[in-house]
Amino acid sequence: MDRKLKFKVVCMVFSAVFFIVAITDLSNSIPDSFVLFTVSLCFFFAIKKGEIYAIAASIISLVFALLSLMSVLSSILLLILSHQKLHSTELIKIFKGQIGVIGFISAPFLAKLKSMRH
Amino acid sequence: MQKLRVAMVGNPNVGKTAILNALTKGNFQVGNFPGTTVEKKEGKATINGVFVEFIDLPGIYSLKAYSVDEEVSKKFLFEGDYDLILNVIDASNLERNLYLTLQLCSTGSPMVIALNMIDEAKKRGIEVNSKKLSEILGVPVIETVAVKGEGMGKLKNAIFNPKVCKTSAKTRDEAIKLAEDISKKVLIKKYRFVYLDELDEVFTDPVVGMLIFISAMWMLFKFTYQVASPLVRIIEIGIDLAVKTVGSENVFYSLLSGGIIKGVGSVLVFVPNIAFLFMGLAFMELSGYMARAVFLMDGIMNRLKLNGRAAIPLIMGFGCNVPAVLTTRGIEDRNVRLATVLSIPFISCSARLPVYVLIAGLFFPKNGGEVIMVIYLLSVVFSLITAYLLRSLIFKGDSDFVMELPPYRFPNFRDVVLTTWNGLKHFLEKAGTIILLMSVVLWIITNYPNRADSYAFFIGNAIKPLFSPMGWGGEVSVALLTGLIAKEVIVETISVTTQNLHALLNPAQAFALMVFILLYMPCTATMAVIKSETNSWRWVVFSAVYSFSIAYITALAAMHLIYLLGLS
Repeated sequence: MDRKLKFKVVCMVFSAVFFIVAITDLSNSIPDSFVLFTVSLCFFFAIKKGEIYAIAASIISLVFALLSLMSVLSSILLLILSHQKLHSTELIKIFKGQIGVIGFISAPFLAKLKSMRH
Repeated sequence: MQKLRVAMVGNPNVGKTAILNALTKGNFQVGNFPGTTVEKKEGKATINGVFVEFIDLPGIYSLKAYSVDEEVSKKFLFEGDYDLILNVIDASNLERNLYLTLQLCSTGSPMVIALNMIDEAKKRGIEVNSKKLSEILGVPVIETVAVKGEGMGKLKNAIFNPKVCKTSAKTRDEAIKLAEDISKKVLIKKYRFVYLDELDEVFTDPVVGMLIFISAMWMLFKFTYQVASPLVRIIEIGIDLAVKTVGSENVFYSLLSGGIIKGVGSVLVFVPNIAFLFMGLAFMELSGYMARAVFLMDGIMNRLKLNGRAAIPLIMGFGCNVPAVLTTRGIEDRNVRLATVLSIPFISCSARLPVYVLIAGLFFPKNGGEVIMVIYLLSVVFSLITAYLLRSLIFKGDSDFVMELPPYRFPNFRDVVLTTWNGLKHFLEKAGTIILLMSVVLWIITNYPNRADSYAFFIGNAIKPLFSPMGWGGEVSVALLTGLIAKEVIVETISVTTQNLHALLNPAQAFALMVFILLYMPCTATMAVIKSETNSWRWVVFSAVYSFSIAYITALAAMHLIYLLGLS
């Protein structure tokens, strides 16, 4: 497949994935969904305006993913400090709320984009 | 011992403070933002047996001063209380920096040039022939990378051999022409793609850039509120343990546990939240993103009759209102400056954060982050409305601004820690002084003559009618009164006077209380700095009366709106 076309397909897929995740997470946290929606929009713009939008989207999703991971760890730590048992259902609930972890998949994508420019 | 006074001069954001830190092993706050230094700073070091005083002056573009901070530099340079000038130059922007250098040469003072950030220039394909530059100007030119400490040894030696320039410019036009000619002779530029530079296209886009900015602000609150929560809990556990261990067997132990440990502890418990807030702000500033946010805000600011320069102190106000008011010195236009000074108290400083965290945690446990975000948005809205009203009605006139966007950098760990510590230090100092004192005062007024009929109860009852439309009782009224000294004291007072805040308020009243605390009257330190910066008591009184009225009306309206929507 042509390199440019490949890039456009990848961006479209990422945009769609982040959009779906944003919609799914809407009932959980509106601001979190807002961030994911912004990432989705950046990937969408990358199709027309170029890879710098995809790089920006990857940076935001990466920061958000790190933050979400820290949030998950904080929640687990809080449960431990409150002497509550860590039930798998609670953990799933926490992870569901921190679905932004998906942003981690953007990291290799970012590296790939950087290498494309050089 | 011999003494040497070195005036450090250069354009804004060229790394003067970083050089000062590297030369003196100091801990002065650095930034990636034009205008980080608004007052002169002094650092001292003994170099080769000589006592050297470095005076770091606010950044200037020329010897003509437009703003208060530039006036500080100009005045110092013309008074001549120094032995030599250490001119710091950004190697990536040589021509513009040389414009100032040539003007400095015309003062006839001995000079040394530090060609800083040489690494960043190389990354951009820029090479400067420092030897040739030194030959042309006739002064020592040392290549440095201050944040890595590179070139500091040579710079230390060079300050003992300063030279008077061979070349200088008498007029502005002459300086511009000469700077251009010299640059051509010493610069080799090769185009190199720097992908980070291209990010400006996205981050400063009016639509996508704004969405990213809102996302960044939310991530900052998430970091401050959610990520810091286990550390808050750990400190809480420690304080509870300390209170239990000390006990209240006699008056002394009761004062120690119920007054001092509980009082100071109730404020200290929020240290992680505040540290995380400063850390997040430092990361945004040092990475260069904050400057893009300011650029993005310029359009909005213009519509509100301010300019982008006013956005810098307003954003700084999220840390503490006091330095934010001082930062307005960088605003050239006096009318814009005064409007900004009087709008800053509405920006929610870190001292107010503990109150929000406490109330949001108690009354909105599931949506605490979102509620705090709403409070912060209200803070920005009220601040901007105030600025607009002041500019439209009192401080009229046009203004514009030019701002240089600093390069993107991955923040240096040491600088993030230093910036966080500088912000936190102020908070801890207050905890050890005014809050400690207030703990004792509060303990006395809540325990004497007796606990059931205390002085606090008397004061609370006296001012309670004022807040009765919001349904706040005596305990909350006393907290609001003590909060005038410092906003952190509100949490302390609530902690000492109230056993169960949940029983005193419903969620609508609690939200109204958060709104009121956000908007009502600046703390005493902010009022003092407003007085010193406006040079008038009139504006202090205006600020206090105006903010109290706005707070009262808004809190009442917010409470009734929640009742009306059935959200309580």
